[in-house]
Order: sequence, then C-alpha cells, then structure tokens
Amino acid sequence: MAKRRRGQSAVETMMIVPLVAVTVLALYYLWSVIFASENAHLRAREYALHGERYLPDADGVRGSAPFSGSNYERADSTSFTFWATAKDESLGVFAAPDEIETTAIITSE
Amino acid sequence: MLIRHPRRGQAAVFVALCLMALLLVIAFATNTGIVTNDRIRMQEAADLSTYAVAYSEAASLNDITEANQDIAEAVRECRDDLTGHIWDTPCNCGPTDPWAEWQIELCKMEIDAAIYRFTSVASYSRTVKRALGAGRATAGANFTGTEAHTSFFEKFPGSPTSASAHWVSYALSDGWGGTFNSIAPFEQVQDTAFNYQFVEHCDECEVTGIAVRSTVHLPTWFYKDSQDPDVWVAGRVAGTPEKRFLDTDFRAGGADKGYFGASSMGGDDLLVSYAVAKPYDGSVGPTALPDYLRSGNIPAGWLYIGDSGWLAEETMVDEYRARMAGIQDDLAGPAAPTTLIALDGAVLGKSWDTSKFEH
Repeated sequence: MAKRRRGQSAVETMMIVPLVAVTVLALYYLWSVIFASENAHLRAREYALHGERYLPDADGVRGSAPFSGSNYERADSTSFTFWATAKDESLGVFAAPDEIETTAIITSE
Repeated sequence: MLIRHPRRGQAAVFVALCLMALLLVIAFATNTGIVTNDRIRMQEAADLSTYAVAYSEAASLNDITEANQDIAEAVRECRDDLTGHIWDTPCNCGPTDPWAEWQIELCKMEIDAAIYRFTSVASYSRTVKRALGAGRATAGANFTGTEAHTSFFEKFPGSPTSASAHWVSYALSDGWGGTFNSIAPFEQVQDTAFNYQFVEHCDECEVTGIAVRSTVHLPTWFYKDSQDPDVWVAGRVAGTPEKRFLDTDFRAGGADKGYFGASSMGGDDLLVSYAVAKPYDGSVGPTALPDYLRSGNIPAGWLYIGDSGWLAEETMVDEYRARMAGIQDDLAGPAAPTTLIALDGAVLGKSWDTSKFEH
C-alpha cells in the first residue's frame, strides 16, 4: 500500500503547476493589454486637448488640438474637429495583436 | 479496503475545485480590466464632449463679440458723420438741422440693424443649443451609444446651459424691443449720446451763429453685469459598456451600488462620468466700466465724436477660447457644478461624492 502511494503528490503537483502557470501568464497578458489600452486612451485624450505640450516625446501619437505654444487657441468656428490617435504595445501572445491604437475626437459634426 | 476506498478520486476533486477557483480569478480579473478600461474611456468621453460644448460656446461668444463690435462701429461712423463738419442748411434757425436729422435717422437704421444681428447671433439656439449638439456628437464618437444618456444639465433650471437661464432684453431706437434667451445675461447700453454742430443763420432767426444740437440718446451695444465665469458647462456622459461585466451588488431598479462606479438603471448597467469646462479669455462688452465709459459718452469739447467710445470698444475682445475646469472651480452663475451633480444624483437615486471629481 505504501509503495502504491509513492509519487502521488508529485503527480498532483505536476497537474496543478501548469494550470497555475497558465493562469498567471493569462493574468499577466490581460494586465498588459489593459495597461496598454488605458495608456493609449489617456495619451490620445491628452493630445486631443493639449497637442504636444505635455507629450513632447510621445511616440506613436499624432493628431490636431485646440492648443499651441503654452495656451489654448482662440475658438474660431462652431464647426470644428480635433482628433488624436495613440498607440501602445502589449504582450504579443499567440495570434493576438501586440499593438493597441485608440482615437480621441472633439467634434461638432 | 475500508481505508483505501474513500481516497479514490480525491485528487480529481481537488483539481476540479482548483480549476473553478482559477477560472473565477481569471473571470474577475477580466471583468475588472474591462470595466477599468471602460471607466477611463467614459471619463475621456465626458472630458472631450464637455470641452466640445465649451469650445463651441467660446466660438459663439467670439461671434457675439464681433456683432457687438459691429454695433460700436456703427456708432463710431455715425458720430463721425455727424461731427465731421458743421451742418449748414440754408436759412435754418434751429433747434436742429434738417440734413443732420436725416443723417441721425440713417444712423438709427444702421445701429438697429446691428442690434438685430446681435440678437440673432446671441440667441440660445445659435449658441448653447448648437454647442450641446457638438457635445453629444463628441460623446458618441468617443464611446458608442452614449448620446442617449449624455446630459449637459440643460433640463435643470439652475444650470447655465438651461434655455431659461439667461433672458436678455433689448431696445431699438424707436422704443420697440423685446426679449430673447441667450448664452449669458447681457445688458444693453441705453444712453449712448449723439449730437452735432450746425449754423443758425437766416433773416428770420432771432439768434445766429454756431449751435450744438441737444443730445440724442440711443440704445446701442451690450455688456454683462457679472463676469465671464457665469458661462460654463457641466457634462454627464453615461453609457453601457460594450462588454458585460460583473455587477457585485446588482438589484433590478437601479438601487444598487453597481461595480466600479457603475450604476444599474432598471436592469441596464451604466458607467457615469462628469466633467466641467468653460470659455474664457474674451470679453463681449464693457462689463466692468463706470456707466459713462460703458456708454462711450466721453465728450470732446461740446461733441461726442467717433473716438469718444474707444474705451468701450476696447473692452470687446473676441479672443474666447475654452479650457477644462474643475468641479470645485470657483465658477459663478446660477448653480455651482457640485450643486448640479448633487441634483443629478437625487434624480438618479444616488448620492454622488463630488469630492471624487475634483481635478
């Protein structure tokens, strides 16, 4: 009887460890996607409002903003569109995209 | 046998329980991530849509200021025409000069036309209502499906965006006038002065020489009694996240606390975000000046010449721009943003902690 139970814990551990590892990796991947998405959204919002003023070195951010120099620009028209797109990278797992792009828009249309 | 039998399948049960726990952890983490991300997107939609309203209002205020400048320009030209020379109609004994009086009638028509244009440009539908459309368009462009749940508190009587918030009275030269609802509480200058010099000379005249016509007062340009902060906009953008998420305290009817700030509204879970923005840096008219300067009534000798209204005209600055503001910003007007949000919370059946929205 004692002989038959030998190694049972090791087998159970071997079954659990991959599951825990997959779970941790999944959570890590999820965190990276959420973080990248939030980061991209915040940068797009910031650029759409303030242009390059507070994002001078932001790679992958482009668009137009009602802001130049150190101040907001004069509101010229009630017909307007300002926009910004921002990218951020997440972990690339399997076939999932490793780049997240978001857009922020201020428009009258 | 009695000892060995109960242990069969023990590991399988243990593994199954572990799997369920792990799946729950992953599900919880996934939903937390989705809601957190949507929360950020919703706040972004609130910020940008409220800014869009403020930007549109700033552009309207620039148009209004230009319309006010047109009134001032009409006054300037009128004064120049009247005082540019001494009127000399043959055989005129006063107390006025017929040709100059005809000129005054033309001036009245031009000034009245400019006032009419002001009332059109400054109307609620051309300013605030148009801006609210921009805000809704921006909310929908940043977070699909939020248009229906987006509010800029225009239904709250105390809000600066309400159609009943600001009524403006205006008068024309003939005494007629009216009222209209507008973006701000504009007041109209009623006593801008006009006169001219003319020659009295004729055999029938008891007195001959150069006389000054008694002053004519006309309603002209507009100003505000209070300062610019009474024009601001608070926005609430709400919507259903595109993906379902866990609601840890769901109760149909909207009485629960929701999850991560979400609110249940009769079975639909809404994420709600607030923001405040305002136009600033311009000036429609001579708000802060003393009455005689506000009216442009600085006499040059006996006359009110074209340049005598320069100080009032200098205060018409069409440089409005828009900026984000804080919920706790020192904004004047019918209601503070915190009051509006408290009212909104009462309508939604929730008590919002406004300190969370200070920024």
